[in-house]
Amino acid sequence: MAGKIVADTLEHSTAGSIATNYVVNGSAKGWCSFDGTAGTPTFNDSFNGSSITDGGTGDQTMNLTNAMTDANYPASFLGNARSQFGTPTGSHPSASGCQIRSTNTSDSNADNSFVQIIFHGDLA
Amino acid sequence: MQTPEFQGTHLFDRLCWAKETLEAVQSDYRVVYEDSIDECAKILVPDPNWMACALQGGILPPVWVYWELAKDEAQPDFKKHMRGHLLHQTEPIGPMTEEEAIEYLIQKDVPQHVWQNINDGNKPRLVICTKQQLPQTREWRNAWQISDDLATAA
Repeated sequence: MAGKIVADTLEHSTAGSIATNYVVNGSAKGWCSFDGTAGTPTFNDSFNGSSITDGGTGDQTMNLTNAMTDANYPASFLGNARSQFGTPTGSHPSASGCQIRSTNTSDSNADNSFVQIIFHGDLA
Repeated sequence: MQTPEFQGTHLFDRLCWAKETLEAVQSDYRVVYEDSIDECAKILVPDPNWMACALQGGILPPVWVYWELAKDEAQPDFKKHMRGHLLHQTEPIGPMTEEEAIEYLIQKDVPQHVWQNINDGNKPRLVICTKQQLPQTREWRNAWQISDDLATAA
């Protein structure tokens, strides 16, 4: 691709330097935000996703275009609704996507109007 | 906008180019499928940025690449992908119509046992429809099923 720069280190004039592998390894590899309260999820924006599988109330899976190298990557997600919180289920770890479960304070599944999912780790 | 010659370029880099260059395409198509008789119907929603890549062409790998990776991941001794190069080094496929993109997405993101046996059983297990044909609210979402008398869209 045009504009390619190959460098092992980035150096700031006063703040010091950082190895570029910190940047590469530390960058998010995929993310999306969507409204989970409409009839079917509605995307706000995304990167490296191919689709969302809506599996029911508070149950969505983000499927990746460029899979992760294994299922041990860290994924995080947030939901905005008051009195709701989320925890990844961990029940279906996959290199190709991540399932989330949004719950209310009674630990019952509940949909969020602004869900954000973020993937870190190594790509396949 | 012409897609650059991407063969051999890391898929992630191609997606970066697409994100910076292409307008996202919100598809009205939805795929409804039943994965298990004990669960409600699942709905597959295409990612707008992915759809833009599919329509543009020259970015996404052929779908069989994902089948190969899925085969590897299904092995009991799977630790990590050793054939990720298939995503990056296989020649990208050309532009698709929106309908072809949905078929590709089904073969990528819907479990294979669903779409490979689409005509088995007494009722359709997978239906392609539009967003407007589905309930507009999530009331009784966990009871959604494919109607018994619904003709398949195949």
